[in-house]
Amino acid sequence: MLVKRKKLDKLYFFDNHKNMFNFKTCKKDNCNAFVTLDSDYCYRHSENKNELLIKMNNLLRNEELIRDITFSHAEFENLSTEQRNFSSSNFSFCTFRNINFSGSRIATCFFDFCLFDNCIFSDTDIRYSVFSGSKILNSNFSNSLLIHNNFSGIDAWFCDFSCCDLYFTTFCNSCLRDVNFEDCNLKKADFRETEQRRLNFKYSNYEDASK
Amino acid sequence: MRIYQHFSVVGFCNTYVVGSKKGGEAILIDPGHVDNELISIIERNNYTISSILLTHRHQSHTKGVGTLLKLYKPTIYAYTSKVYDFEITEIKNDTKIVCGGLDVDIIHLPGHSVDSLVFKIGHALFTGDTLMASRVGSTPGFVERSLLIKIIKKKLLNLDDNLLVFPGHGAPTKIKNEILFNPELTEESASPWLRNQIKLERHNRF
Repeated sequence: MLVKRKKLDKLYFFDNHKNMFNFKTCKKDNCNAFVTLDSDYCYRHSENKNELLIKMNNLLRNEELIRDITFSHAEFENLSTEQRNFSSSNFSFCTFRNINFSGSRIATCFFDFCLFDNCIFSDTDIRYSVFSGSKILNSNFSNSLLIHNNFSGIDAWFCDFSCCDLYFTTFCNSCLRDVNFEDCNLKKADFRETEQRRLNFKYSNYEDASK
Repeated sequence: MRIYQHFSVVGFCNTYVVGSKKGGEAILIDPGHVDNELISIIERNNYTISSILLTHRHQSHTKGVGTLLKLYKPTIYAYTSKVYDFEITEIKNDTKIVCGGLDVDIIHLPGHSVDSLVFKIGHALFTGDTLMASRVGSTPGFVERSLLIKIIKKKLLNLDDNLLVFPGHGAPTKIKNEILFNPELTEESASPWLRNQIKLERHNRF
């Protein structure tokens, strides 16, 4: 395995920076989305969307710790969020284009039903996070620790998961095309009901995964 | 409300500490194993464990109770009266209790074991081994499996689809994701309305 062993201080991060975003739901009728940045509405139903988006972009650019934040249905482009710590945040239904997350630590974050286009997740440490239902295009997750994550129902095209530890990560009901899983730990990984085209499992323990 | 997740290396079970932002009384769900990291989560946040909720009595979810009783004086809630020799407050039906200042809805879902419970606290569901990301709990036979799937559909998939699901093993998920992508629950379970909503949502974006 070529996965880099992470330093001990990361253990501190994962055990001490897990809270949870606000569970208050949007005031708009028939909307069950969680409210965004201490507002009474979700981002989609907020009146000051531009203001909120600028605030969130600044947070992503400048803050090292992104914690307990809900920001769904937004679009982010051309950002460098390297070496950041994302914890207990909800970015469901967001679009991320040309975002560099490399070297970041992501714990208990919800990126479900997102679009990731040309994003870099290499050398990241992602745990207990949800990418379910997302479309992931031309993205690189290589050399990462991706343990206990939920990738069920994703559409992944031209992605690189090489040299990743995917322990207990699920890909059920996913559509995987031109995805590289070379030299990965697939112990307890789950590939049931996946549509697979041109995948590479060279040097990986695919026999240890559910399929 | 704050939720702290701890992975127990003994039994590979997820343990959750749920408390308020200010510290004080907290709930501990499924203490599979107590180690320094779990104690550090409790103490650093100024929590006192006032209640322990057990999703079921399997060893990987209960073995830490003994250690916790030496440190705190919690009330233990479970469906069954026998978890080792501990004094248990039994919960026999779907009900609501207040623990650590938080309202806890308790849902009885037999199948994985006869005593399986699911706890709903705010917008979080703690499902133990009943429902996990893309799988349902193991069962001793086909009859129990059929019963489990039927009861999950009846009692959990009808809840708000934006509820977060924190299982006893593996990654978290949401009810919506399980309706759509759990191979053991899909096909007939997803309502046409929800499938259309998701399709529309994706169509609008791409």
